[in-house]
Amino acid sequence: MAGLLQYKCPCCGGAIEWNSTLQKMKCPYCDTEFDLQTLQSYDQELATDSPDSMEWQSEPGSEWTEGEASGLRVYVCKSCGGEIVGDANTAATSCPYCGNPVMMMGNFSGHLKPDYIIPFKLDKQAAKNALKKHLATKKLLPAVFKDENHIDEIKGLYVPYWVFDADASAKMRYKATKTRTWSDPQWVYTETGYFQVIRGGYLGFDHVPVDGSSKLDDTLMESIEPFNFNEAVPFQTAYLAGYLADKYDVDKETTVNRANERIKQSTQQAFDQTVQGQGYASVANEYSSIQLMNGVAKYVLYPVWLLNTTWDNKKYTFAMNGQTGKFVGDLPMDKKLYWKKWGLIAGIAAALVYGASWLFQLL
Amino acid sequence: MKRLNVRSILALLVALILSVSIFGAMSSSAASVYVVDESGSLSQDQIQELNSKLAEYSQNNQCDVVFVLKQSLNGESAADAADKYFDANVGFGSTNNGIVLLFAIDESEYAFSTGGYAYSVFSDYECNELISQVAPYLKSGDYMNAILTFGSGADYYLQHYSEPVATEKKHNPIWAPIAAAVGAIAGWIGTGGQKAALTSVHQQQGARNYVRSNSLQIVDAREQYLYSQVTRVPRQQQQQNTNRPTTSRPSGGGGGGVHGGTSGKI
Repeated sequence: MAGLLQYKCPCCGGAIEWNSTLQKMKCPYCDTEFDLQTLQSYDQELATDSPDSMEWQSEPGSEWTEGEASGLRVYVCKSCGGEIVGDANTAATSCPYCGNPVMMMGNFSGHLKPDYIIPFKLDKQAAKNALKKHLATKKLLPAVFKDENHIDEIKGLYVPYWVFDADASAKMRYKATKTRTWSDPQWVYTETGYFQVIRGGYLGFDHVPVDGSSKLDDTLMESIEPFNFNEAVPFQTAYLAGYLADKYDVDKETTVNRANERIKQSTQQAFDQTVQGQGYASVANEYSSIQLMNGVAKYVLYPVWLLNTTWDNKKYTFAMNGQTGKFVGDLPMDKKLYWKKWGLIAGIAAALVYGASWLFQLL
Repeated sequence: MKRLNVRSILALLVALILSVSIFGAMSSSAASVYVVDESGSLSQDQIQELNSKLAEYSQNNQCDVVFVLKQSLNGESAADAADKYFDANVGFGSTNNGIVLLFAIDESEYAFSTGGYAYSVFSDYECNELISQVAPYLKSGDYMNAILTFGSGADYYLQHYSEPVATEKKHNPIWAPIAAAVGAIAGWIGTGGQKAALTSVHQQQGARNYVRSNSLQIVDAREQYLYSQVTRVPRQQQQQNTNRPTTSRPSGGGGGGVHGGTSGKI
């Protein structure tokens, strides 16, 4: 069984958690605040604690089918002894019985430890407010969705990301044209000159993120970008307190393909811009070769608020960047309202055009 | 009573006579001379004969028909000279109906000047038709026949002119599907933004947000000329139209009248 980690308040013994507003650890029971340095030594002290050894007698029952149980992990809460069921990638969660935040340290062992973490800067209330704002401005959203919308779940999750630093070395070849026009009394002449344009050089990229969790929708995670890596700090388990955290289950070799794709796209655009607008009538890329150098990958945890709601038997997931507050999530459309508005606008426009055609005839 | 009746009848008669004379004055011709020969090419008998002929056409059509024959324009344009003469001497009735054909022998230039009712009758087409009939006589110096041809031609057009009948314009049915299509597009555009606002989950295009600042270094920037092609298209011929507009032009004489007509060389 994997070891669990909780930060106990030195004052009252309650489980303390990271407060995104104060940017400190704070005990929710006695409101005592702690600096991270204090907690670091506290963390080290905790590491020397011997884990509980608890053996459970297996109950009779049907057996797990092959592969069914392999993803499950059972943990025991240190505060109340309650059983916490998670999966192999759950790194931090909260006890469903006592609510205390816990970390599955065993799930970090044997895997890479995150290099950096961006601590949460926005709290749960900010996520709720952002959802309200997100819904308020949508005119085609079914009114019943807005009125009856009850959030099933809000969770602050540290999402595992691979971030890639690299220098792109590029060589591009373009075919471009320049035109010149002149005339005599009889003819108008156009001369089109064809040129080969070469561009070679370098472009640097820092911290291109690709999410390393297979459970999360990649597009959803890309939608809440960008994250500001300048605010990242070296990873400490203390930051995980009070939030959920997953460890990566998609390795960097797999995610690097997406990073390469994005780097290639932006490199191409940057070099294209050095040719476009340089007096050419047309520019067409004929050849491009991009090579990456000095590639470095880092394993980081980024803060994300995830909100789930169900409406009309369909699950809607929203995500908010826990650092910048960028909120995304697709919404359902009131089709009746859509066609009503469409019909109104179309009818008015058609009537205006038809009326104008009669008016022009009279003039 | 009888005296009063007689006085009343007399007063009415006087009023009637005055009205008729005023009306007559208003609808009478401003032209006293219909053929002007400043070149001395025509004899007095010819002038008298032609004058009476054009006067007849003028009275019949309530529109002065005048021919001016000049030896030289002395630097003036034929159109201006014709307009000047029209403003000073021509115009039948209150609307100044009239047509003047001026011809300058030395320059072989002609000009029509029209006003009032004749302004509508003699468009470019009628003027060109007239001059094509008259020109052979003018070229040969047979001014007698030139003026007779001009008079009879003008008379013909004045008598056969009918006011253009406004044709009833039919509303083109193509507008119905056009209006429907425009409506559909407007509806699509009008609701498109609101519909798109419901979708906020998009894949990132590129890694623009993560480009290291000032890291773009271009170490090789070359341009190599390959070849060139020259194409040519014919230049649009600008039509040189010497016709004066027949719809409206200010009087060359500065009299404030508006004349139509054409001019040219024969």
